[in-house]
Amino acid sequence: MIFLRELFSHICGQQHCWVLGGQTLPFCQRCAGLYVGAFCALILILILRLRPTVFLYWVHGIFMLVMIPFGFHFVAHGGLTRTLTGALFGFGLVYYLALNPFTAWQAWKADTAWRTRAYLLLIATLLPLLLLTVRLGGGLSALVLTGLGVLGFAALCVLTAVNLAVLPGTFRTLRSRSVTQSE
Amino acid sequence: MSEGNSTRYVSPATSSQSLGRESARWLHVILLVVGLAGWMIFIVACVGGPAWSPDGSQILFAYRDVENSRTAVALYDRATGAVSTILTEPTTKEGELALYPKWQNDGTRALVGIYRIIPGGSSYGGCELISIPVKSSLPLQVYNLGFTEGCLFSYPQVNGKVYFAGEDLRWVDLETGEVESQEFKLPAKLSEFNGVALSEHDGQIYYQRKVTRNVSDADKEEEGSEVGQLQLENFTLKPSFTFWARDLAALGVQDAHPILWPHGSGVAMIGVGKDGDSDKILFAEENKGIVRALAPDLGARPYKLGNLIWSADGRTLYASALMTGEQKDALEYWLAEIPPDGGRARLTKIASIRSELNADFETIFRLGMPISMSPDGRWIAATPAVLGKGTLDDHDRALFLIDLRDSARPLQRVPIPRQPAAAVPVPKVQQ
Repeated sequence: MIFLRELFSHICGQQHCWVLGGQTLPFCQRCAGLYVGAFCALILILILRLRPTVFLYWVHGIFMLVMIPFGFHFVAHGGLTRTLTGALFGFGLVYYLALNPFTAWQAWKADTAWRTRAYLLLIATLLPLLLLTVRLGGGLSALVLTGLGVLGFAALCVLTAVNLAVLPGTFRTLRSRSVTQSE
Repeated sequence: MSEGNSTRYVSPATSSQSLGRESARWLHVILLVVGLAGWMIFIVACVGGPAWSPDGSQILFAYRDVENSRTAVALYDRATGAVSTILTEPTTKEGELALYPKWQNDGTRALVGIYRIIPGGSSYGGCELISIPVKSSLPLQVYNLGFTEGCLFSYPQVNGKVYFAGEDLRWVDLETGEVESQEFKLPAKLSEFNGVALSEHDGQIYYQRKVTRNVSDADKEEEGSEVGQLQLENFTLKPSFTFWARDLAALGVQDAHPILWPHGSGVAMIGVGKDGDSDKILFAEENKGIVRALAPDLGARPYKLGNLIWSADGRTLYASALMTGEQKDALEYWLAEIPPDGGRARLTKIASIRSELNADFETIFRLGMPISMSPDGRWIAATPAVLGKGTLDDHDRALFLIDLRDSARPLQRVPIPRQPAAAVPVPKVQQ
């Protein structure tokens, strides 16, 4: 845990941390939401692979925009709200980071309404579960949240690296299409 | 390139779909940049965020500079280990002046509430708020709040305003420097209004105030306390519950300390024990009132509790405790880690004090020697350094940090500054 605390101190102010079962989580309440949310989001996207639609662009954009009033403290809020808004931000972020690689590898599945509904329903289930895990407290909750948070952070790093790897190919494709159209 | 060649010969319908795909791929690149920029802003905002200083790197504490007859506020920088005096006030007599330092929420300035007894003056002391730059270029500023007991208790800070409560509500707008006041609005008009003490939790302001009622079976009034929330939008006191002297007597305490420590839907309060009796912790819930009293197991000797801090998971209450020593007129200042459900408390001794435990000393202890927790919940800071000459050994006139993560609970001692204080800029009085 000390190693993780040191690690996350580079990317998190570690104020307002949850202490569950005597264990202080290595990241703040908002980052706990972000990284746990990011991991859950990646799993959902990997399973459902729902094709991007205008609706989904907007939903995930709103998830990220929620951070503006809360992250900049325009709205007074408590620890659970910090975690909740962090998680929403995580869902939005992972979706945006998944767009390029999934498109490049043609990994999306056909756009069906049930897939979108299932995705939103699972998000609506996972968010209260996350808050319940925090409220339950205890060593197990600390372990679960720390584990998921670490995996979430790793997922974001991997997604970023994959994007960097995929981007040159995307640009090549876009340029060649542009040349084709101009001809 | 092969993808580009293949689209050259597709039908117009497919070409338009291809154009749609192209737009989508550009959009994905833009959303990737938006996402990564958002994440970077999130990280920068989180690392650079805001007593302990909000980032936990600096600590403000008040102390008595007995050699120079003054009370002062020191700033301890944990990274460099440097301790510097940022404010001094001449103090000739014990109890003449009380300094309550805290941080502005954004961590750029230190705020010091000063309660000054005016001999022969108002029944209340004079109250000032001094705003001292720490990571800000704006100069030191003094806000005069007039005569109010508002500086005696914690002063909440919500949305850039610092609130002080007594018989009315006064506040300083840290942005504009305006000092304003407003009468409290009550659900029912009362003939007599007693002062209000405020506490803050997660942006919500809670209050406690004394109330009275006629006792039907006797020709006298009974005193009680009303607890509720202050609604800042219309300055209304919204009561949650009231408890009366007979309720407290049944719980074995004579009064409740005016500060509240909310957690979840409940609050913890300190039930003040009669004379030499130990204090208790009272747990109350909204609309129910006091639901139970806990007599913490701190060993055999009588003790008084100063302030409480909830652990983030609600499973421990950290308290400053004052215990009678083995010898006459000897007291001991401890950190107590109390399980709210009962059980033996863990104790860490901070300092020895030479004084008898009388009402005056209890007041100084409860208001001037609170413990404080670092923003990450790892450290407790405590200091008895506000005590007067002869009460404290030189070695104990210091700030003490206790590492809650270390099972041995070692004390890290930060001595008070010994050099004369650096010249403080001339205060620019705002009002």
